[in-house]
Amino acid sequence: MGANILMILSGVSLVACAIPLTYQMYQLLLLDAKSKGLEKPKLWAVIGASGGRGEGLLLYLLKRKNYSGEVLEVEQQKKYQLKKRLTILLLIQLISALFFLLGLFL
Amino acid sequence: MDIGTQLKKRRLALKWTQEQVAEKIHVSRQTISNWENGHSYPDIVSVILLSDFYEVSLDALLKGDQKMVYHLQTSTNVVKSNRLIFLGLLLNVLLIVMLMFSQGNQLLIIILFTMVILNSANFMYQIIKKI
Repeated sequence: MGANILMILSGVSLVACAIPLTYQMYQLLLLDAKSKGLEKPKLWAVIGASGGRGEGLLLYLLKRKNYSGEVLEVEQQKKYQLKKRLTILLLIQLISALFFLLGLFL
Repeated sequence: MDIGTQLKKRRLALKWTQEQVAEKIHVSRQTISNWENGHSYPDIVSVILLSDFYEVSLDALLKGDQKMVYHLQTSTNVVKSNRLIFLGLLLNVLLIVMLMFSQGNQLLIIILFTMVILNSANFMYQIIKKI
């Protein structure tokens, strides 16, 4: 019973975090793609933010490698804020996933 | 002495306002405030401009602040960050293959799953840091 509650709570937390995580990631990639001068920045932001295991991000990084646009200080500050939020969300997801695993084997 | 304190001391000694400095090096006043209060660090181009503007050597600005040195190292070391991402990816593939061959041994499965979760989070974090 306790294990089930733990799994449900951590499962809900995992899903609830995944939505803002994807959105914040999209925002970060859009900002980055625009400042780097990528063609179709919205499309690349969607590609990068989709794919939960980071495959979209790897594709984005490969594409981004060939561009070296200058990042303005204002954008740098915004990126810093977005990265901070993403790190917090990622940390919550990590803890939730570990609790979900614990519930699975209890 | 950390770089923020040095920047503030030098600016006050020269009797300049944050607005004046911000205008000279093409950033916002808030950015200057963040640097001085240690909320963020200037990039290498801004450090060079500040060094010229404040007439302080780069040596004095950078070497007194270990955190700033670390920030510059991590933000400019592309080879190291690429290697970390590649290693993370490789480790995840290896762990998933091991999981496929660890049927029956529950303790091993728990350990491997935990390692996959931790490694995936680290992998994502390295990519976020790189962008």
